[in-house]
Amino acid sequence: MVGESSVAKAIAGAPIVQAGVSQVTGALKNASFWLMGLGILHFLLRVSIFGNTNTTLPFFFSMCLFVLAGYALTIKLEKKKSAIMIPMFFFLLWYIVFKGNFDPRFLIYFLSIFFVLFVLPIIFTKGESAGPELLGFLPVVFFFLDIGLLPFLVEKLNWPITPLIENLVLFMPWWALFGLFTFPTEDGSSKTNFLITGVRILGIIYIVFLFIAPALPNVGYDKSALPGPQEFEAAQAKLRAQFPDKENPFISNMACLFTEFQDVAGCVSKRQEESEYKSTCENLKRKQSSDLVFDMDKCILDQKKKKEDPSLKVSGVVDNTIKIPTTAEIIVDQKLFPTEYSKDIPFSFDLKVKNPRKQEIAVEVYCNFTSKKEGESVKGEVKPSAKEIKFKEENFESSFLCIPDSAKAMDGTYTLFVEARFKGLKTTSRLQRAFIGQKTPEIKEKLRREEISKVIMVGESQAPADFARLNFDLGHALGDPIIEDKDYRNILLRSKIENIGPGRITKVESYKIDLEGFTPSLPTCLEGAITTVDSAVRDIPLPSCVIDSYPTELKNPSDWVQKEFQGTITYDYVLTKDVSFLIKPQVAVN
Amino acid sequence: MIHFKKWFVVRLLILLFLFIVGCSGGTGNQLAQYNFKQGISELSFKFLQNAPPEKLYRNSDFRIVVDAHNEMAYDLTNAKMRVVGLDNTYFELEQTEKAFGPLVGKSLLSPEGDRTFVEFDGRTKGLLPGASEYRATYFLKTNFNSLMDFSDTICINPNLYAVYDSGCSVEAQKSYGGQGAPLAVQQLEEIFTPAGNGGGMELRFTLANRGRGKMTTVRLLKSQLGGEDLKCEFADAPLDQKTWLVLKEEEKEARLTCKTFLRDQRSYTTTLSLSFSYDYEVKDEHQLLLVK
Repeated sequence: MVGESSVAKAIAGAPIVQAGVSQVTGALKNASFWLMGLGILHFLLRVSIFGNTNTTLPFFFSMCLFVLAGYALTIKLEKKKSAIMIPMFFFLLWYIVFKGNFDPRFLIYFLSIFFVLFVLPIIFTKGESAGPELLGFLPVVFFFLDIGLLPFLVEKLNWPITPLIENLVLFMPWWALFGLFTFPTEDGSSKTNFLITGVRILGIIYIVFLFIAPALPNVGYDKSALPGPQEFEAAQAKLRAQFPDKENPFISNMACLFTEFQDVAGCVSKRQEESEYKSTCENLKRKQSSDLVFDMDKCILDQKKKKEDPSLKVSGVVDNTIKIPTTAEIIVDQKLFPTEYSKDIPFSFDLKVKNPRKQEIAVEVYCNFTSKKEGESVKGEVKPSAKEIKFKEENFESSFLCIPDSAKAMDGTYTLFVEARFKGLKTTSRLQRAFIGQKTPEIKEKLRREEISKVIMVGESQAPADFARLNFDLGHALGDPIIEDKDYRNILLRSKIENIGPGRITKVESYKIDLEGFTPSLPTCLEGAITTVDSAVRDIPLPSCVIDSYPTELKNPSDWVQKEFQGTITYDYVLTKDVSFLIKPQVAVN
Repeated sequence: MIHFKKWFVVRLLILLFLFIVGCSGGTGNQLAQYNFKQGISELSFKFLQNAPPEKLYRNSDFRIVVDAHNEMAYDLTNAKMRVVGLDNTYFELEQTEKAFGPLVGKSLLSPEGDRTFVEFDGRTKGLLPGASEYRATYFLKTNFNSLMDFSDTICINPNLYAVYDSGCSVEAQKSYGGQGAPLAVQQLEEIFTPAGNGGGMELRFTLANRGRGKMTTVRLLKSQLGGEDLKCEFADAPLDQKTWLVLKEEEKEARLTCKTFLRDQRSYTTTLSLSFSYDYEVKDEHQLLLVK
């Protein structure tokens, strides 16, 4: 009986299997389908196996997909298919053979030939090939996006990292997206291939989920120095490393659609947060010695507690009264680098510091070289000495030489890492509050509307746009400038240190919030120090406390009293810069 | 004797001449006729030139001098001026509150009204490191008490149906342009209720704050009709204190109702007078600029 039924089922199921096989074979004949599949594979390999070290293989893979994309695009077109190849061929020629040469004399010569070969087919085909030729630029754009154009722009042009950019960098398989765009609407037999349609729908849903984030910022730039593929890939790897690993939003959305469909948004955000904690804990586990037992649950709970720390919610803004902040920049000009290795020719770089407040700043400068091929690191000797340099000048500029301390000659692609360690930087924040005493809610709102809002325009603490700032908040609610003297209203002091610069805070020598006459429930919320700072952390929470008492003159004023509080942090900060370059061994002269 | 008579006549003539000239003098006559208790007038303020200066430098002394001028037709008393909103971190004032006055209002004896200079001495402190300037907004708030008198001649006619009464005609509703203060009687309505020999009369006043400040309390001091006291009540005042009204935050108007019984049947004109006192607050927004 059982056997009969299974046979019957098999017979009944045969057409379904046949149809399925036909769908798969139909789809496999399609170059776009291949491009999508390989694009996903390429993306997965980049985020897993290739990781942050190998940049050659993903580049090679991307190049192959570039060619496949061109082919997929030709299939999509009905006429003048080969015209697509013109811009693609010229791009390959320029980027690979001529190594993206930007020399104006070369460009005039090269672009003239390109222009002639670009325009001639348009003339001969009476404009028919113009469309396909322009379409040929599409794979070029996708090629750059895939090898890391966005992270590169974020790093070099200081594009703001919006949630959309973060999603695109972390989760966008660019070649798969290209494959999706070039999918045919119908297959060759004029019958719709359901597998292709299904994949297309899934792809579109995926993109929709990635694009839920705000629109791209409209940042203009007028100058572009096209870097090598290594630099693109390196920028991509570096930026990826900066983001905490979290669950792919597509997976989160899909999982939430089927489990908690009543509150998909809340569920997605919860899953994303939890995956972030898990990833942080896994990183911590990797760092910890294998002899010790790692309590993953406790770690996740700790991470959650840290994230929920009320201090982290305290925000701050840039103080507009301080026009010039303290800033620093490491400038490396690759043109000045030796192309052939010689022990006597060093690598030079500059350090530029703007110190408008004439603070006494101490800085130590370090450098080293890392071979891209072997991953081997070569220590660099900084001249003049790497010892602490102290200065008070408003504009401090100094050039340094970095000499590789290696017995063997350098050969191949290297990355020069420069590090400037600043010590004793000081940044003062200020916070304005209005003490109104015991007023009725109506009078309080009238005061807020007619007077306080005109005197205190910013409810958050303000600080110059230095490397880091102390964000602190005093009052009944975050950002509310009014403080009342009512028994049932607590006055809280919450604060955090925020890294707003491009580097890392390595130590907080001291933090001090000047609340003279105020008694906090915890003295460490007014002053203290943090000796060890996690390099990945950009927000450092400080202890929060309740204000038990405060000066009587602020308790019941006839009108209201404005009071400004100041908080200062003294900290150490590290700025880094890395540049890739190619060097050959010195040719022996006989 | 003749000599004495001559001198007497001469002196009399001089006195007569002076009297005639004195009484027919153009300006004096106009002033005598001028009614100061009309329109809307207030206590006005202006800074004395360069006090405070446009820019204040760090760690320097400065002075805020306010010329307070009573342009009202009434005296003001219990005046206090306060500086509110200046941060002690940047500007340290010796005193943030100063009492001044009383200031006599405009009258025949003082046609310009009294004025006084209210001074606040202060010292600037430093700017935040790196800051080039600091702009501070503050308020000058002044509180005072003053008076307002209202008087008019009104027609009273209890017999609404007396067609052949050749007396005055009643204006059921009258409007007024002010009584020389920020508090003004804006409107008066006369309502008669005939009853037997005479009748009841209700006078409804609309008082308004037409100045730029805030009126907190209005008190009715005196109300008379034809020399006799008139019983009046503020419409929105509490039951136990009907001649005293505390105005709410956004209230700009108050209603006062006066009632009396009329014995006469014929129409006649009579004087109506009311006297009020009130508390007033004026607020002005200013800025100080502290530079390096």
